[in-house]
Amino acid sequence: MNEMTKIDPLTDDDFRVDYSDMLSQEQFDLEIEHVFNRSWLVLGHDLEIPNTGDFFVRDLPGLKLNVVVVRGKDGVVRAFHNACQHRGAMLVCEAAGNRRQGLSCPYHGWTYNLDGSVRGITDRDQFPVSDLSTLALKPIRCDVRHTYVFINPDGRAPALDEWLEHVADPTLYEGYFERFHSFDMISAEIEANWKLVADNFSEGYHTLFVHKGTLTDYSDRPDDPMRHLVALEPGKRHTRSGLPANMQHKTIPVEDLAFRHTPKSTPSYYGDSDGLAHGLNFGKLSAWAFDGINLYPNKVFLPGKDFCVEFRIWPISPDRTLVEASTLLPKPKTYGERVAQEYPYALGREVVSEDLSVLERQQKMLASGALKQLNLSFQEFLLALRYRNIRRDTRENVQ
Amino acid sequence: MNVSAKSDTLLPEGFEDLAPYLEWALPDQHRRGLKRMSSTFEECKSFYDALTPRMEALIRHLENFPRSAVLDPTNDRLFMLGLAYMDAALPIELGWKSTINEGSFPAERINNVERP
Repeated sequence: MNEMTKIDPLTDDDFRVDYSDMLSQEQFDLEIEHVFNRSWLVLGHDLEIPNTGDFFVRDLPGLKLNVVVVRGKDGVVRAFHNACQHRGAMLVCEAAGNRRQGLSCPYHGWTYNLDGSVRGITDRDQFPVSDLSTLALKPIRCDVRHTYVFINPDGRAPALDEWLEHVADPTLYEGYFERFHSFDMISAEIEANWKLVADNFSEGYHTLFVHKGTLTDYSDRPDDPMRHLVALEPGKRHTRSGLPANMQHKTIPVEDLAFRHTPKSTPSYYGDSDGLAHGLNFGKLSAWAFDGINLYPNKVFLPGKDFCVEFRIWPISPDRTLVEASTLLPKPKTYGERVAQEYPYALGREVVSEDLSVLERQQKMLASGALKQLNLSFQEFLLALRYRNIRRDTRENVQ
Repeated sequence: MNVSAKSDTLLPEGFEDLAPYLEWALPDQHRRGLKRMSSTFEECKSFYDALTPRMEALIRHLENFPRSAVLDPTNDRLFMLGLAYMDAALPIELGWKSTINEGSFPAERINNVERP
C-alpha cells in the first residue's frame, strides 16, 4: 500500500457513502468551487498540438471556463481564457487548428502573440491605455506531464508535481504516449451527476454484466471470475491499479482479422509490458491487461501495451455531465492497418455506449431518494477514496 | 474476356464484385454507424457474408498505401468499405439480437470526434 494511505487509511465508514445530499445544487456548487476550481485538470495531450501555433479549445460550461491551449514559438504550451481583453469576445471559435501568426479577434481585429501578449490593437490611438501588458490574454496555470496538458483555475494551488503524488515522476510513461498519434473520441452529455459517471469508469465490477455483449471474457481467470484488481496503489487522491489478462480469451473472427494486421488491443492482450516505460504494469503482473490510473477528480486512463483508453468527466449541472472517451492506438502505417484498427475503435465505442446507458437510470433512482447511502465493496475502493476526498473538500475542510 | 473501360471503375481490380455493397462505403464513422444501426439484421448479415471471405485480401491490398498518401477514389471506396465491415461484424459475431447493441446509449446522442 502506498505510504499515504498507510498514514490515512480508508475505514469501513468510507465504504458507506452518505448520499442524502450528494445530488443537490448546493453540493454541486461546492464541488465546482472546492474541487474543480482547485484541482489540476486534464484537457488533452500536448501531442495534439505539436507545432508552433497549434491550438485546441475546450469548453467547460460547468466550470464557466472556455480555454484555448496553444503551442508557442518557444515550444511552451500555454492556456488562456479564450476571451479578447477588449470587450470579452470569444477569441478562437474553432475546436482546433493552427494560428502560427498569432491569435486575432474576429470582433475588432485585435491581435495577440502566441504567448498571450498583445501584438496589435485596431485604431490604437483611440485607446487611453498606455501599458499594453495589462491587456495580455488572461492565462490559466498550465503544465504538461506524461504528455497530458493540465490546467488549474486556482492560482494558489500547489505545483503539478506535488499534486500528482506517486504519479508525478516524468519518467513513468516516458515515450509511451508519443506512439499514439491517432485519437478516436466520442463525447456525450448524460443526464446524470458527474460523480456517477466517474464511479462507473472507476470499477470493473460492472463489466461482467454491462459488457457481457462486448467484453465477453477479457479479464476472466479460473481462480478469479470476479475480475478483481490484482494490483492497487492508492495515494491521497489518485490511484494506480493493475488488471490481469485472460490469456485464454476466446477471440471472434473479426478480432483475429484485425490483430493479424495491427498490434493487439482490447479485448486481446499480449500479457506482458516488455519494452514499455517503467510506470506501466507497475504491479509486475505476469499476465497483464492494462493499468488503471485514476486522477482526482475526473480523469481516468487505462494504458495497455499498444493502446490506451481514456475518459474525462466534466460536470455541467447537478444532473448533467459531459463525458469524453477516447481510444488511443499507434499511428497506423498503412490504410490497411487503419482498417484493422477500426475493430478496436468500434468495440470501444460500443463498450462506452453500454456504460452510459445505465447512468441516467441510476441518476433517476438516486434523485428520487430511493436510497440514502451507497454500499461499496473493496473492489470499489476508488469510489470510496474519491467520495472521501469530495467530502473533505466540500464539507470538512471548506475554507 | 470482357475488357471494360477503365475510366469509371468503382473499386480496384479484383474487388469489383463488391460494388453492390457500396452503399456501406460512407465517408465518416457517424454515417457508417447509422447505416449499420438502421439496417436490418439480415441486410447487415448479407454485407458481412459477402465481405468476410474478402477482408484479408482487402486489408492486404490497402497495406500497399502508406497512411500519409491520399487515396484515389477507387481505393478510397474500398477503404470505406473495409471500415464499415469492421463495425458491421460486431452484431453478427457478438450475437446481438439486432444491429443495435441492446441497452446501449442512443446513437443520436453520441458525438463522434474523428481525427485522421
